[in-house]
Amino acid sequence: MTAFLWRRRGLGVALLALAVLPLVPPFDAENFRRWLVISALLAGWAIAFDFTAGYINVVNFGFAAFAGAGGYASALVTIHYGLPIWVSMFAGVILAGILGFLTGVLTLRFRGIYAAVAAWFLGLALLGITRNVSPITRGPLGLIVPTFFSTDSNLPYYYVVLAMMLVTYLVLKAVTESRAGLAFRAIGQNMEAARASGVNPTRYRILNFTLSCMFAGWLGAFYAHYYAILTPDVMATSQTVQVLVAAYLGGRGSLWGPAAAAFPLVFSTEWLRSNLDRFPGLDLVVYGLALILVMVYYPGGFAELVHAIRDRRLRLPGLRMRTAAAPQPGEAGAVLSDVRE
Amino acid sequence: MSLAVQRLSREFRSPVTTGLIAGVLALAIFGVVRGGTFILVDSLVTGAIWALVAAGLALTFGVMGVPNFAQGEFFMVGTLSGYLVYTALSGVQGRPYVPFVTILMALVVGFVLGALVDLAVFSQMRRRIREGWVMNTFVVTVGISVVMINAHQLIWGTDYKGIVAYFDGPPIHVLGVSVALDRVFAISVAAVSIAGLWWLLSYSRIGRAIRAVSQDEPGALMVGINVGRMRTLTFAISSGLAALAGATLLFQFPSFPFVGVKPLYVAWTVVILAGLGNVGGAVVAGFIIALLEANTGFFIGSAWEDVVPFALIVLILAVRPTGLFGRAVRSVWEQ
Repeated sequence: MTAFLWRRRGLGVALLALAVLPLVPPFDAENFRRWLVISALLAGWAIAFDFTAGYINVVNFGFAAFAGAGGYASALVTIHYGLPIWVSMFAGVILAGILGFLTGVLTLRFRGIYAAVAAWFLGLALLGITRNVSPITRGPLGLIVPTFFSTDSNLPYYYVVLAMMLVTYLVLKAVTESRAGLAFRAIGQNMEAARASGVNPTRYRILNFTLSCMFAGWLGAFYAHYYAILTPDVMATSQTVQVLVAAYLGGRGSLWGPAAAAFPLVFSTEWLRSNLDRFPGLDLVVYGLALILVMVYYPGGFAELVHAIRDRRLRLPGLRMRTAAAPQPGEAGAVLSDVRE
Repeated sequence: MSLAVQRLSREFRSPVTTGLIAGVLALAIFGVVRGGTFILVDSLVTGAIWALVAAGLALTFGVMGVPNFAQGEFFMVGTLSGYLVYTALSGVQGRPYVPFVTILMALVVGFVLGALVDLAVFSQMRRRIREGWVMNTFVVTVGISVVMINAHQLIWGTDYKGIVAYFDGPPIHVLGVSVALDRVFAISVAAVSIAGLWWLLSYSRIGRAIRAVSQDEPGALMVGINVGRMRTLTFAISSGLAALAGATLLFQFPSFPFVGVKPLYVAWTVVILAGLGNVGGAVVAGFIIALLEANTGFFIGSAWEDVVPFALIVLILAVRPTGLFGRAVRSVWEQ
């Protein structure tokens, strides 16, 4: 138990800092607290996204649609049945879970880009359906959704979403550290080899999709009850792109990297948006350029950087090299690919 | 094309493909009988343009392994440069050569921009990335698309920048349907470009080199082909075609930052239906998707045009995971 906690000391420090942050100036201003809520929400989504993209190596390009479906389910249940939000959120979890399960089943036979595109098309179809069944969803007008609290303050929302992010992280981390996580990685790296060693790709891929979408839907329900208005735009591809940017900048296959990247990402883009409003679109240009630069020059992202510093593979001023540098993975591969070029 | 025909005839031995083709023909006949011949004419016009956008997408995937999410943005660049050139030529508007100059300029802009993007991004990635090439480039093209959309917004704003028509003569009549001159222009441009692309790929030295790169990179290298330049050229051709399509359709798609979204979705459905990397198949599938859209729009309502094709494609994929004609590229790019 002590060892378990000690291994997570970094998480504890980070959480403590995040919990205190909205009370410390300048972050106690209401707009900073709002940015914190958005960051924590994006962090939670990025964790759930990375659980699929970073482990079984399938980019769920319809991610936002599943999250949005969870939001709609929760909102509709509270509106029509008057259930408390804490209960109705689980309607969102269930619907998103079912959709994730079906997507998992449908995309089972596809690999890589085909699975990503199939999930994308399913997401687009879901978005179109949500937009078109206006008797239920009020279409593009949007649903008016009851909120968690009757206060204008963002502080209680922040602690709720922070707790939800933490639960998402802990559950998904526990899964990835179990036998299932090993199976995920095996499938993600080489499906044939995994199958040959007795891993059943069917079961694990469906499990992965279902879990990831359940958490996406749960956080989607938070989104609905936080913003109080829910339009089909929440399911649009651009939302998936946001989550994807956070996940890839943070580094795939670590779960915490994407969460850590979400905060600076949201803060920098929101800051650009509010301070440079003479240049609409500039924030997203920066966003896109950051994604391109990271993908081209440092595809491991933030998590890889931290690992490199920890393993002393990277020379930084002030960090003394105590052990010999570990051999770079794929050095032989580098030579080969140079030959190919 | 004879290769494509050969492959097609081989595909007909598969009952699934035969069934699907029969289904499409039945859909066409049903649409014409119940809706009218305009469904057929409509599908031919839009299908030709979709085929043009999708052929570029298939080409970049087949040769470079880049699933280009930014293809719609090159369409956007085409509409924008078409608009800028056409308004700059306002003094001589009405002369019959102006539309041709406009779309040629758009083709050049798309071509140059595509070459620059390849040199700045994909050539750099080639040197660094060893595994997960397809997914990594996919994510990078997402970034390129975000940058291009918002750069448009930053510089030219979000207004619709469109024109009424390139040609203002009376419409012509085909099968009892009146077709505006601009649509005749669009289908002619698409037909000529597809024929040109086919000639380029099948008979020219450059085309042979491009095909060699797509089939066997080390082999191409060994016989002295400049592989890097062929990749740049491929990406430039593909973005040039998308830009050409955008400029040609300017009368229907006024330029604004998100104008590329719809062509992108359609191009992807087309390419997935045909099988990734299959240029000939993409042309056939372009017409199938257009037919599907026209029928959905007429019988179910145009709001569902964005739902039914996607759902159907996923179902088709569930039966044939590599698309209708996608057997040839299966082993190379599956990772």
